[in-house]
Amino acid sequence: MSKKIEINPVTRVEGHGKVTIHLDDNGAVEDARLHIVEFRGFEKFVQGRPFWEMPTLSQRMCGICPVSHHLAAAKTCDALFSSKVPAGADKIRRMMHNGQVLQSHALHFFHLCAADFLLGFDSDPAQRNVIGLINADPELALKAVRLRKFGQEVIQFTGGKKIHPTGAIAGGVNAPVTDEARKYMRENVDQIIQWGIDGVEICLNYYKENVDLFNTFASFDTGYMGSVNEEGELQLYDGKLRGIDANGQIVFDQLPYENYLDEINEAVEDWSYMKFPFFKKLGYPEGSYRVGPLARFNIADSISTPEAGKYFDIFKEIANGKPVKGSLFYHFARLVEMLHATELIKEGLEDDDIQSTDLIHKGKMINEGVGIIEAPRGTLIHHYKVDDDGLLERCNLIVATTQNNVGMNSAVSTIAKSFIQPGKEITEGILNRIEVGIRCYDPCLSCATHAVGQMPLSVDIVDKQGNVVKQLVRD
Amino acid sequence: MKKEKITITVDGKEVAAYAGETILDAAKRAGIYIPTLCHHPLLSNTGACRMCVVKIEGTGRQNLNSSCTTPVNDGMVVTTESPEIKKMRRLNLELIFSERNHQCPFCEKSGNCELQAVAYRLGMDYVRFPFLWPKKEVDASHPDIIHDANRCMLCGRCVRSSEEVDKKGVFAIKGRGIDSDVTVNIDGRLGDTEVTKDDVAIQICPTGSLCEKGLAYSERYGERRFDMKPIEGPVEPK
Repeated sequence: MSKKIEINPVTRVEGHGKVTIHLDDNGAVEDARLHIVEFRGFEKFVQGRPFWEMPTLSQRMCGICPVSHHLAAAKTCDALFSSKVPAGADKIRRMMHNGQVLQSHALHFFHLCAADFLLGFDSDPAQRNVIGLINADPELALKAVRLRKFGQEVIQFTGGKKIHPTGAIAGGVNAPVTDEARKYMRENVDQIIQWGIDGVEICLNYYKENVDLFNTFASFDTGYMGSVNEEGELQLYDGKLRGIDANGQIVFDQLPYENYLDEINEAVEDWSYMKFPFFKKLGYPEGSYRVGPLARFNIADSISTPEAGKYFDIFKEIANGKPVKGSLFYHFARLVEMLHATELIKEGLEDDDIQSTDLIHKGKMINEGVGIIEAPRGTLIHHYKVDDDGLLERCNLIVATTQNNVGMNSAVSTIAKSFIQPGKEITEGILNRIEVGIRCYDPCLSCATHAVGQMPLSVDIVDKQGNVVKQLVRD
Repeated sequence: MKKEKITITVDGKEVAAYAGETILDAAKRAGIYIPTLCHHPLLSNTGACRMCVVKIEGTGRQNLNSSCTTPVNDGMVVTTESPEIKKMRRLNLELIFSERNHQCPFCEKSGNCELQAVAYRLGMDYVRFPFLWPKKEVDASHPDIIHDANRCMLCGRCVRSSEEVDKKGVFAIKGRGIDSDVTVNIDGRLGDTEVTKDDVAIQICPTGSLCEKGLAYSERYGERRFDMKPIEGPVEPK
């Protein structure tokens, strides 16, 4: 008799996700899906609001990476005001973004995922969390907390607040970095960079000890997308889009943000509220692609800062310059990006423009604008159409997790097929591996799914008629 | 004509007052804070919002009176703070918040909003009533001003300023009870009026309902009017 297993909801992920695993009559995995079962509808309820509210309004979607929405929205507002953002404002925003990348990546890896690696996929779930990590390695846990703290302080110094800052506004920013803030950051940034290196080393060593795991765990073909500059160097705040296929061939390159619709379309499936973006040229589902740290490392030719650059070169050697497929490599790329962000913060602190008082420029208002940023989880697209009064008529938000939808589903089904076998007991450890797969991509489904809350886990095994024949529940 | 001086007692303290002035004005001169929202020193008083309610002793009346509309009498004994008064003001605030869409987190008036500041000062940390979530249109037709009825608390300051100070008479309240709304030239758009951003009506809106365009979020969090110190009274126009 065929069965369906549900992981519901998925843990250590912000927002509600549910996994169903369909078993055939022999108990082998037929299919597995990550369902996004909530709906918040930001795109709908911002209609009729003045567009300049969006940097402050849209970031309320999320508490982990509000700054990404804040800045993507601000960039969209710049486009709508035909703004030439002054250099000082641009650099302050970049620093805010680097603070965000730092704190978000630190949270993602250390607080939400590291326990899986350092304590083991099959370790006691009661210990397999950030508290268990603190017990097991207090020194590392403290570094992790301080890394994240510094990232949040950078956000506060550039945006006014640690969470939900209001610094970026249409056409620029509302205040420069103060003397005290600059001094404080300068005094601390070298230590932060060192801790960033320590973090990358932890992941690199884990990889060296588990090469097979990294190469096989949730490893599958997709396209990849991210932002680069004209030299093909990785860009996090602003650049041009590059898309490659599973073999590393360029699908499109140097695509200006405002033309994203020339290359990207979204498909809809009846079992998820989340849409499925794909490369137009390749069609759906063949043109499905991934975004985020791994995708960015796959599409980019280089990275600008020295310490991160060393690890970028190691990354490129993994598959001899071809795209790296294994989902666990997301964590490695993530930590290198975190290090890159700390180095960029240091560079930014040496630039007097961050204390400039020429911070806003607005030109003629137009009716349509696109703002894209490389958020910690991947490419984040804001696209607004406004009426002549500046009220939003249409808003399209394509968040990173939506673009990783196919990636996360492939991760779930690849892992399920590898570990769930006919006649073998389905252990908690196997279910955790599925979550490990999801957490490679995102600790936060809330912006894509627009949900809030923490979740316990339940697994439903359901037969072909839809009857639950067995249920495992974990609080 | 010289004003007649009288003495009243406010919160147990003897306060000199002028006959005919309001309890609110006498208390203010004596340094006693009474929360207000619809009251503004440039305008006539209507007692619309009921935030300034006080207890007047010896009247035989059980209810509270609005101090902005009640004139002082010689020997009057007034209480401005008591558990009962606190309870009524807070209840009133919660009702105001539940009626419209007062979403502080993304409101451009946040930090400069009198309604928000009074709620903070009075310790209103939650609302016990179900929110009504009315769907109100935003009027952004004016090049310099935005009118968002979602954030209106129907205090009538714009109506009175436009009539009494700006001498334009652009705003009015239409409808009755819960269906009341501020209307511009009777269902018109702000862009078709002679209102300017420097009109007192625009400058002294206590909420984010009437805002000057282009100023949104231009002040850093922590540096806005009520970020560091509690509200003391109505904001002055520029």
